Amino acid sequence: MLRFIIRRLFNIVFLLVGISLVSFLVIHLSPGSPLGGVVFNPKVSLEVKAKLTKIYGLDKPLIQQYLDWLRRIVRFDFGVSLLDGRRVIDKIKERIPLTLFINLISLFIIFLIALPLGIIGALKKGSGLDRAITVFVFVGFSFPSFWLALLLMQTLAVHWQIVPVSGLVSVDFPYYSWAGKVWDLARHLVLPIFVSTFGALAGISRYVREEMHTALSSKFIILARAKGLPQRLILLRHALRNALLPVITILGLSVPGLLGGSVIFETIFSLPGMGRLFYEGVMARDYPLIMGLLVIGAVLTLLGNLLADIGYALADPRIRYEAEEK
Amino acid sequence: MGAGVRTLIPILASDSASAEVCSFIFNGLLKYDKDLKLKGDLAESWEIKDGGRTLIFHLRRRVKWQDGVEFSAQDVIFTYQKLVDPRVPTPYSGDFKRISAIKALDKYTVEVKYTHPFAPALASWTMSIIPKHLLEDKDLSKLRFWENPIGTGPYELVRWKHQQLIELRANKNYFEYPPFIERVIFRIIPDSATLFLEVLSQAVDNASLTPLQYVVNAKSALFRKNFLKFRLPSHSFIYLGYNLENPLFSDKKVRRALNFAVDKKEIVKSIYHSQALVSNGPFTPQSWAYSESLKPASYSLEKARRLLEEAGWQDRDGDGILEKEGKKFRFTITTNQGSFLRQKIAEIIQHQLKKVGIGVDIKVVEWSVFIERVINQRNFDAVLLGWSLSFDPDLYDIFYSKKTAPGEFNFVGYNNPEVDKLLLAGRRTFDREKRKAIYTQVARLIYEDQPYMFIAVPYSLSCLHRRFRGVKPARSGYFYNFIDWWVEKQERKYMF
Repeated sequence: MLRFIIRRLFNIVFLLVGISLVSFLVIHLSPGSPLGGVVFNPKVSLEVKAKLTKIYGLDKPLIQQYLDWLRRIVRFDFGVSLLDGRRVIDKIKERIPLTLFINLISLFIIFLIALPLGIIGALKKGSGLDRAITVFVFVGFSFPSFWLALLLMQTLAVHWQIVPVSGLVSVDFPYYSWAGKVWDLARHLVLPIFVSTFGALAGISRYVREEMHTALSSKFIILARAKGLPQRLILLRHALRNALLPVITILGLSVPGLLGGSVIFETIFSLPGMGRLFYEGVMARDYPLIMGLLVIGAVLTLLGNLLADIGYALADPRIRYEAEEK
Repeated sequence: MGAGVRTLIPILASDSASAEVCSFIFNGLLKYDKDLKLKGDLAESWEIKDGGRTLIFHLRRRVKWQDGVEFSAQDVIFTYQKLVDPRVPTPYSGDFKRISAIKALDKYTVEVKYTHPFAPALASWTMSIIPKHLLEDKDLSKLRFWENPIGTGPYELVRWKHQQLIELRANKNYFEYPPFIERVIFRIIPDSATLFLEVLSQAVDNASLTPLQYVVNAKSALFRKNFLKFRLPSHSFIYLGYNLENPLFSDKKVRRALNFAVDKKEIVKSIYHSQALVSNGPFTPQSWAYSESLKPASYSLEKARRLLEEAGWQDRDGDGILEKEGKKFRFTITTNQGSFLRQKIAEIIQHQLKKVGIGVDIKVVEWSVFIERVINQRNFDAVLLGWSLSFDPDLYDIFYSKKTAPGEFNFVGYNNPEVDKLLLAGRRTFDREKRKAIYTQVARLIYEDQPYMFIAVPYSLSCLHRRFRGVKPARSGYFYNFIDWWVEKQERKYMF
């Protein structure tokens, strides 16, 4: 097992170098430059452009720039953003908590609601209730999130003034008590979390419904029924466990997504998340920032895969043996 | 604000959000007053000598930086040194490169010498002055990010939450007098629809509006009860710039024909909901160089057709598109992605030019690529763009015939020796009336030559909560006297 993990870790390092090289080349070779936004101003002379190019190190050969970047990154130095001169790592660090928090909470709520919906759908497949649930989750799935968000803001925030329109906290947040702060944060996050949850119910509840239905019609459930086990036990212990396996795989795959934000969503709600950071970085060709985000994303994805593989290996002896034979 | 503030070091601020916040914290030697005339700020008065080769600034005495250190001529010289330092990534060194010598005659007097008389120089000294004692030992090429900016201005920084908000508080020792409004908070709200809802819920006191919001949404009772709306011609204009090296556009008659064939009033009405003016040339009504006597050409398909025919363009094969010497009149308008208005304007032009037999394709390109591949490599037939110009009317960089290298701004390739001569004269003339006469002539010649089709000057639209008192809108807007504003006690919303 240890050898398996070590070998995988070794692979990951090579993969990372490869990923970073390809990303670096792609973003540098794509047209446009970090100067684009700064210099389209008649007051900016040609000399200034040459000067900025030099300061940003963009005049060096591409491979030299990559090696410089690599040399820094092995010391965990992500460099400095070209846009505002702040350290890339600081810019990323301040965005992570919010993005992670919103994603975790919505993931939790999605499962909390989608699981029962899926189970009910499977148990009563084809019934009026099943169809009502289907309509409900697909309505959520089909609503454009920005439109739903604006509609909710208009009614809940402008007309009824129950929640604030957008933003993360109120402007006088630092002057609140501890409980006031929690309450303020909660009020601000209600709408964003509702919008991101509502749209995602369909996927998970459909998976659960299908898997549960397959499980319920399999032979071991018929046996359990014949044995006279109570319905609750059949459902929760035997059917659901089997039905959840693929769902847990989906959960595992969503781990790297926990740090990925959504541009539209964050823009509508004026939230400072990872999505906007990445989008702004790309639009401004802020190379160090883009590279930093890509590397972190790659590391998370690879680690997520590794964890999933280890999990499988622990759970399923067949995978473990295959790995060791190779 | 729509975008986050990038830096609070004014000489490095190239985006409008940063510049706006910096203007609350810092002062220049000069500033624009309510009528957009230059007046003293950190400088009490100034003298122009040697026919414009020497400027002498007499500085205000007893001005303190927000940390208590006294402001002096050394700070001015330091700011200049940083502006021209090759290691400092400032986009503003251009005008300051023309300075041949700068020295402090005493603690409160600065003498600046120029190699040639340079009229825009005076306006360049509206640049914010930065504190020598705090930044002297800092490497501004590395430190672009300054967490605790200290200026001389009416407000000082309290907190800066990136991409969320910036909070400022009144500077009790401001050299004029402390502002009445105790706190100013800038929030970053990137989406304009969200911003308007924030306005309606009264969580925001001052915001810019889109034309549609200004005309339609602001009619709601909820809005009118709490807000005043403001409208002012902006300092920018939208134009269609032709690639004058393209044989299609080398004939002035053709360019004038296009100008007759496009109904700008239609664009103003349908795209801007009438919240724009038809442009009459390179100056906007906000500029002192603007001349009302220049009238934009009126819409006339007849004149357009006649001019095109005179230029040799005719539809011989009856397919609805003109041709000349076997070549069809078809060209592409390129514009940048992210501007919904510009794409719509391009579509209207496309539709209107079809009526005189000209085929137009539209290409939309992402901004950074647009600058590098389309503009700098002059890889276009016509571009739909806007200029947002500084208050000084100098157009040298945009229309002087030699400013055509890749990365320079006469990217259409305009060349009129008479305009060249006038542009140079305009830079040497300090007298405002004489300068105005020069630029009126420049505007007339350029409008006649039509290197650009001048389309519209949009209004800048905004709203302000009614509880602010002392607001006196003027030509320069309504923020010039912000330190005089107040809010009645019972109407105050935030207590600190």
